[in-house]
Amino acid sequence: MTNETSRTFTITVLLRFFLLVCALSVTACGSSSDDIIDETAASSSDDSSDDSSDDDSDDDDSDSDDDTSADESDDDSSTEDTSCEESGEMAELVCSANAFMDTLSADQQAGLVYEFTDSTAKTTWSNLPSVSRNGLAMGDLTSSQQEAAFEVLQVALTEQGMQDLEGLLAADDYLVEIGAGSNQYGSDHYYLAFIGEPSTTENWMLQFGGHHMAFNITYMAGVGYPVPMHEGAEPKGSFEINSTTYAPLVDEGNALVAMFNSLTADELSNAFLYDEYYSDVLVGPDNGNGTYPSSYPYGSNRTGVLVSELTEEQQAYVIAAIETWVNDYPANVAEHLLADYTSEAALEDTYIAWAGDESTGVDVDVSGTYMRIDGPRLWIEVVCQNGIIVRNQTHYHTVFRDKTYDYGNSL
Amino acid sequence: MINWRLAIVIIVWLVAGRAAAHPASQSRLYLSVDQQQVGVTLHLPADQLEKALPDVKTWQTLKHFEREKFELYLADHLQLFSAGRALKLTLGDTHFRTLDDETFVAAQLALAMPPGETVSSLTLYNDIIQHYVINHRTLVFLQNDMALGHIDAEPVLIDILRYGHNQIDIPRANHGPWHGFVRIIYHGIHHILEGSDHLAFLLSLLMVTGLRARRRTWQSHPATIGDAFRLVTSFAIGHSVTLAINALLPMPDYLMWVEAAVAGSVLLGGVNVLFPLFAGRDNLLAMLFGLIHGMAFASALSVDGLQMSSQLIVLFGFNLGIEIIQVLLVLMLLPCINLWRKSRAFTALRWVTGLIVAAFGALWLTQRIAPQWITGEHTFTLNAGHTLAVVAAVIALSTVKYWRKKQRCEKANERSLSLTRMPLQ
Repeated sequence: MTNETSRTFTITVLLRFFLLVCALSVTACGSSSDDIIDETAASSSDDSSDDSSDDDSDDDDSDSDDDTSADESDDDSSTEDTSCEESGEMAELVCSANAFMDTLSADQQAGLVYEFTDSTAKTTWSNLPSVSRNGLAMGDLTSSQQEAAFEVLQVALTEQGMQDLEGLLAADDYLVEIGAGSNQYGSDHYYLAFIGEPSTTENWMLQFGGHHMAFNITYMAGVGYPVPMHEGAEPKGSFEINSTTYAPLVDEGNALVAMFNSLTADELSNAFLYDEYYSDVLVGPDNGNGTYPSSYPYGSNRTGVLVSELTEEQQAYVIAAIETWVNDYPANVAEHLLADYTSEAALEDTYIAWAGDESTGVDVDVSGTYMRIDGPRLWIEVVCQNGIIVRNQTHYHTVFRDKTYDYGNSL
Repeated sequence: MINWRLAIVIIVWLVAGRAAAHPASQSRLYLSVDQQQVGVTLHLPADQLEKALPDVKTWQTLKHFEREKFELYLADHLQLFSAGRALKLTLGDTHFRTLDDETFVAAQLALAMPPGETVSSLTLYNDIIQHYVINHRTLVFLQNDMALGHIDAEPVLIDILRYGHNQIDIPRANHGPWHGFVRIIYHGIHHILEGSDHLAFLLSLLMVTGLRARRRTWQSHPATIGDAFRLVTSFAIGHSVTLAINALLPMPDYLMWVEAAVAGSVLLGGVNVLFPLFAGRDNLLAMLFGLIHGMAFASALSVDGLQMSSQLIVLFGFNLGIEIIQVLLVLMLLPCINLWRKSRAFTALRWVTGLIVAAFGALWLTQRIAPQWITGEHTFTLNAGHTLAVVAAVIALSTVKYWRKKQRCEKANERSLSLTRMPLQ
């Protein structure tokens, strides 16, 4: 943001400029537009390229094939360069991560990267504003550093994922605009951290988060596990800021509502969690506790309607809902997960359930409305809470977890 | 391992609590384990509690609890077992309370052992609110434990109760009947050794005790044990009175002013070393300022939820620890001070000590009245180890001085002896 350091230390400026030039011309991961938000919105499509396929492999089934791309372009990591992209999405991600690191001072680099063995760092994330987070705050970076940072995120996410991310950042700026304190809220208070050194072959983790947002993508030998992932949106509907309209979690919310709307009255009643109320998600932030959560329902406590007992058409709604989370990530992350979560065996053990007010039905405008997908591994929760800043409407808290592969099973 | 993780979790939660009036905040449960009963203080977020117990909404509007109903609800969802025996719950003081812009139900409970039995092992079962609000969590803290001598003002986080984790064993250890009391004395000892401001004040009194003022300056004169005894007793009476009042009676939160007044007393004490402000009235001064220091001591311990008999034991033990150190310090430092008082260097030493004490008094006073003027987190105090090191250094220096003086005297004696002998030769 501010160039004060640059102004005072001309040498640093020259050095940084030199590094930036190197980054852009030699490795050429950076795209060279100026406004990050507009840039990504405009970019999309074009070259999109193959990537996907190749690596991932190992762990459970999946065997990748190629993009069976459930819906819409899963990964068009919008880059104008060539050298990184050809070697596959993981190489491109590592390349852009290194390019970002090259824009940083030694102190900043030290603040960005954590040991991969640091389970406390891996589990440090929260839905709340103004709690201590890992890594570098966006507000403390220069605009060129910020650009390089967003370049990394853009490679790590698909267009669908990037829209969520930008929408949630804009939502926080919107909260500031309508009166929330800018010392807690706003897109400056989002942090980027690497747990482990970015690598195509070694394990590492990319963290980006702040209020209502936690992207935790663990790459185990190039295969990504984007869990746990938290997104929240206030306001939950569309809003306008800087003459751009955003609606970050509308897709997710609508997909789940559509899923429940596809049920018959009996099924809907079977999916209702009686005597249970949710004022927040059940398996929420890990707050740096260094461990896997232990509060998933198990055994007979897992209730709802089994997806395998639904019609094919109804099942398509469930899968579409899952995709609104999983397809935020490119093929090396999304494909193996989608295959696992939607396999026949998985669906035979996947419940959909909701809670709230049975008389109003699944209504996201009612505080306490709660929806979830509970599979053998997959865990998605969405809860509607009263607004904190926007008082007259509910807002979403969501979590996407993998009961086995949170943090890539690396804690 | 677990402890620092818990520490991080609690920090996040504490910060989180302050962050904003965010929905779905946690309950807090503070345990005070006594001999025959366990006191429990509950802080339940009202908006979450009313989901599980809709009556709360009415109670909040009417500002009146249906105590029997609430007691039944609590007894259903909060149970304590000691060696398999259930403790009987009684609801005490209950009221609505605002903490960090959020309304809580604050309830004081006593869970009593059957008559004649004492609390041994403890198992807690609690699903207040959580039985219905599935995502609800309760932070369980140990506030006091008489058997462990745990009386810190800062409660310790034991565990976080949540869905599927509603029952925990409270860690306890049986170290014998005196263990708790010894720990309480130790707590007093530790507290005074860390209390650089109290010690600086004590030093300022010792420097000039028994001195007479003449022409607006102190006249050198060695202090007697009697002087010191009267001085320390006056200080002890003063701080014991306010310590007891503050610990036993509900008091408003005026800690900031107490801390500032303590710093002010240090500043005055330092100036008094330089110029005799309170000559001949140092015992009265010690008692008056003792009253202020006692209020500060009270902030270091908590006796909430304990029975009156235990509260008195805690106060006695804690105060005993403070006195032990004060008496020991006086016994060690007074001979040193007397030694220097006999030397010509004493005036210089008195000035240096007075200036240092006054300077720290002024620093602490500024820090406590206008913290924004002094940046950084530094408290400018010594920890217990460093305090002991300083005392040891003073004693060592004085010993060296004593030894040298003795040598010089011996030499002088020898010389005078040889001189007297000379004519005989």
